[in-house]
Amino acid sequence: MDKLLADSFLVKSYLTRKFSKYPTDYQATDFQTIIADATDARANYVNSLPLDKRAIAVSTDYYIHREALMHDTTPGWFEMQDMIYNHYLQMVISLIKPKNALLFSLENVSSSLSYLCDIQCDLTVFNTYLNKFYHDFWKSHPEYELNFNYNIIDIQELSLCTDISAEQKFDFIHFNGMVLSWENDLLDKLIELLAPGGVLYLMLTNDVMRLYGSEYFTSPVYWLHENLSNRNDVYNFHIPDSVGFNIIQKK
Amino acid sequence: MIIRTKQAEEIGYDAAKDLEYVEYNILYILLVLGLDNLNIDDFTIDELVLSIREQFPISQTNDFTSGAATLKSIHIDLVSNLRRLWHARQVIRTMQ
Repeated sequence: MDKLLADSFLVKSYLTRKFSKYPTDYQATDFQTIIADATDARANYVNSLPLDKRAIAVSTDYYIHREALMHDTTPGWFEMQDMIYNHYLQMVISLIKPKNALLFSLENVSSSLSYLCDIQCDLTVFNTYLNKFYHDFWKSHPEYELNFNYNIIDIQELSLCTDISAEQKFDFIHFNGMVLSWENDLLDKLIELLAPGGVLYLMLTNDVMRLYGSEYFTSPVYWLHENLSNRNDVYNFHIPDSVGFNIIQKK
Repeated sequence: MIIRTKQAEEIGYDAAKDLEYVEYNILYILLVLGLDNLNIDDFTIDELVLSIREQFPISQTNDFTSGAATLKSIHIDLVSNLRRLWHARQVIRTMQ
């Protein structure tokens, strides 16, 4: 990681923590050892798998090379991840205090899980291999103490569900924007699953900043934004920071 | 909706179901490429990427409305998602 960039995240993180006031005693730095160990263990595991790493199979795709990048020990690396994965998420969760949440993976919201448990939010998680990573590398960490029950749903199950009752709806959904760049029907279904006033929190919505280049219209996420901006049933806010976020509230 | 409830100590992951979803999406790409043999193992990632390159060629353009822009957009969408799904398929298969 570039040292100037890393230094900027140290400053950003320090000032953000100094100037923010959380509703709980949330401090991601308490989690730092667990996060560092879990991401290292995950990276070691994935890098040890017999995966095809030729250019034609992976190219420069950030999401495929993510594990290799996780090993960075430059001061500021943890702060960058904290800002990307935790800060905005914690802000939204704190503001809406969800009672029924649907999550892309437990790993992606790991720093907010204790807060979600504190406010007795029911958790439903999509069945992806990231959940196995959560159990293998987070939950098995000797210092990790959080225990909670949760529900599991297969992503393909969503396309089958019709006439969703009010009790089945969620007031918070966390999802990966890159997946939605590909599946318009899934975006429709997720918004259908939102209760009025509920929030769909999307991360990875700027194609690692490539969305803001001169050929923005060729980015896979471009059509995700087109689809969102054409909807009349939601308020949609794009945050053009780091990996990009969209906060979508159902009217 | 079918929802499975997991206790705190259980590992809430079904690799077969996850693989089914990923392979469904790869099969969708095969159909877009006109490959009607619906057995993913009959193809290599090389063959699929080369097929995308042939059918949806990339050329420089700044004209949003041009056909070249559409082809390039489809190319990038197909290749990036194919790579992501192919990678996921490999990871999941090691967990079965």
